[in-house]
Amino acid sequence: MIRHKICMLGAFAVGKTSLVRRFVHSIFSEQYQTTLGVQIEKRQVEVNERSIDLMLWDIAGEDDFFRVPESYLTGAAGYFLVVDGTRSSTIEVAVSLSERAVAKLGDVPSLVLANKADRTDAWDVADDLGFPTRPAGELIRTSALSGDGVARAFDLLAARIETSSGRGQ
Amino acid sequence: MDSPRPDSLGPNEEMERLRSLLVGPDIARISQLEQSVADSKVTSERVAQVLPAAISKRTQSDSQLASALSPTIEKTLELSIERNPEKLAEALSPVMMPAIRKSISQQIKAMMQTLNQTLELGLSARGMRWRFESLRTGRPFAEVVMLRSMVFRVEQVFLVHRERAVLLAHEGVRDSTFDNADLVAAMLSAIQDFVKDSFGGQQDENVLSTLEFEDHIVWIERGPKMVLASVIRGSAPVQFRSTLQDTLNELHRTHREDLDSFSGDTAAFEASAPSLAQCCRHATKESSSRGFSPVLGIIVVAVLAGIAFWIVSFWTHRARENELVRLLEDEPGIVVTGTERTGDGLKISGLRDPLASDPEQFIEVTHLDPAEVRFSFAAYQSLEGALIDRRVALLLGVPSTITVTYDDSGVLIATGSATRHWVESAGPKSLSALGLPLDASRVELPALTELENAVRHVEAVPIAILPGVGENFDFDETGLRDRLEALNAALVAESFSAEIFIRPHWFNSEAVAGLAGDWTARLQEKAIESMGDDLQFHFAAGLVQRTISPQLRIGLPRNTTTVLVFEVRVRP
Ligand SMILES: Nc1nc2c(ncn2[C@@H]2O[C@H](COP(=O)(O)OP(=O)(O)O)[C@@H](O)[C@H]2O)c(=O)[nH]1
Ligand SMILES: [Mg+2]
Repeated sequence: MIRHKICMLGAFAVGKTSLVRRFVHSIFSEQYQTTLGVQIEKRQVEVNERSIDLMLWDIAGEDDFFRVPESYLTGAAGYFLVVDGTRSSTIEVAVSLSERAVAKLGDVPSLVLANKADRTDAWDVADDLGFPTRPAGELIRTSALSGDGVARAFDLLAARIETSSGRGQ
Repeated sequence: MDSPRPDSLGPNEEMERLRSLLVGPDIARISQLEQSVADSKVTSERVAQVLPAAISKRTQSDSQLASALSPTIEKTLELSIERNPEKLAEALSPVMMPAIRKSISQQIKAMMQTLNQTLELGLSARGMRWRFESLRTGRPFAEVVMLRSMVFRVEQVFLVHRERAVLLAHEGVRDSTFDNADLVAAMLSAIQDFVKDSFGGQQDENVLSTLEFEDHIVWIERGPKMVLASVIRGSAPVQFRSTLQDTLNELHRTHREDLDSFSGDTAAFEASAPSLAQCCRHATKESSSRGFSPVLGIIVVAVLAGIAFWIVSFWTHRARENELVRLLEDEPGIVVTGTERTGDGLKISGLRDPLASDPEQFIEVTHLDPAEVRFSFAAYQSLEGALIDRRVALLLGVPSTITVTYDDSGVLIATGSATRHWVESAGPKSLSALGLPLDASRVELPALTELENAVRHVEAVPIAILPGVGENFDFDETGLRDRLEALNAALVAESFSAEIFIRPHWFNSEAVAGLAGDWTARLQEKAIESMGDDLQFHFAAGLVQRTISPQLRIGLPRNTTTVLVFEVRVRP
């Protein structure tokens, strides 16, 4: 069995928890969130016909990320940077979190998600976000509400992680 | 080249000669050196072969080699540590940890745990049981605690990658709580991180090593790269930590390479299953630790039974005493005014009607020991119905066919049936002895037999003999003859006989002296005369009795009247 720790990073209310909820459903971890400030969920994905367990670490509650403990990132095999497409100010937070993640984890796979894609009426960010993504300009529009792009985002990150660990392709 | 040629030697030959001229003496030494260099290669190879053996041999004989080498080794270590301290620590920890753990600190921990348990157990039922066992076996209490407190079962073992926070391997009993072992592992890591972050510091000491939830304890052992968490039910001895640490160290050794190249694939760690399973098997069987020796079991049961018996008998005794008092209070003719528990039993004081039941009988009824109960009753006369009944029965000789009830108005009422005699005598007796009138009007009297009737008729006819009448007494005129005839017939019919006593009642003793005998003879005579010889009765003289009322004596003139009253005594 292959298991990876994945972190959900992003400003307050961008939809991190909603994305995880959309992607998995597990009751188990909920009971811990209040005490630990972190909620962990699990979802299995298939990469090249191999099952991979994604352990999804999500900051519980409505904290702003800067109070998140250092150890939250430790050991992550990859992470999502979530931006709220209706609030361009969340890009800034994502950029600063990205720097922190790189400092801590080095060059591990990551994906930028522009969430709340269903709210095209209030869309507030440029298509490329003006964000130093790796690969440059790559981002996935997701909607936790409709589910659009969510599974694709998780599958893609899982595949990237597998590739970077020398298994994938 | 313009220089002359000394001979016709070729250029090479010339070089050779030149060389021998210039360095001729050294050539031999060079070839010697060459040989020596080659030799030295051979030697180091050879030394490499013999070195281990040589070192061990030398070390056996003396420590010179060690002391010669130690500065070098020390220097090397220093350098190595300086360059990459983590590497060394990592390499050394599996080796060093067991040794460290066996050091004093472990013993102190063990002592602490024992102490904690001892305090904790001080008054618990378990504690008492162990204290008893300690008494019984003569073992120190602490030792018993150590032996007995190790009731535990390792239900789950998680091997977790410390940095990645992912589950590497898991063993354990099926339990819905741990269905998602990998989530548990992740949560354990998160908890660890949380504690570390909350209490600051990077040192392992600040990291949680015990976690409690519901009735489980999680013991978390941390190695350089992996964490071994075991979910334990019960209380495991501190020594079990060593087992866990040993397992973790061993797994670090066997998976060193897997850990170094780890990138999320846990397949390699499946090999750790037997070691983890071994940890899971580590448990004290509840039965063996709970197991009483049969003798102890019997003793405990006996003691418990004894205590229970004592409590029960104490309360039974109390209940019996209370019951006795209650019975006495309920009993007519007994009034309890006080009870007192003295050294030698229960003292009950009060009032008692002499006709009331014997209080001793209640001691028997309540199964109390008579020696432990003392009565102190003053006598009184009860007006309770039951006591009046008893008194009536006693004084009036009430036959079983009669019921006497006490009317609230203060009259005794007799019902039922009784002899005329009883009815006639009871009234006056009741009044004189009890001070209560008796109403016997409702008592049914038995139908009189022929004989009784005859007797009554005879008795009912007193004969008044007026002064001067004496000689001329007319037997027939009195109606006595008919009655005597009827009596005679009844006596014959029943084959009874009778004596008729004549009681003269007179008011002048002198005048009637001898009258009874005289009249008896005369009546006998007259009776035979009129009824024939076969009389079943005869007249008896005597029983002369004077009835002289004071009024009569004063008011009546001398020699006035004589009244003859008959009394019939019937005999079979
Ligand atoms: N319309 C819309 N609302 C979303 C979406 N994702 C999250 N939200 C809403 O955004 C708010 C914050 O979401 P939450 O998941 O708690 O954000 P978090 O703080 O990043 O975990 C909630 O009210 C969600 O219902 C989305 O894709 N579309
Ligand atoms: Mg959230």
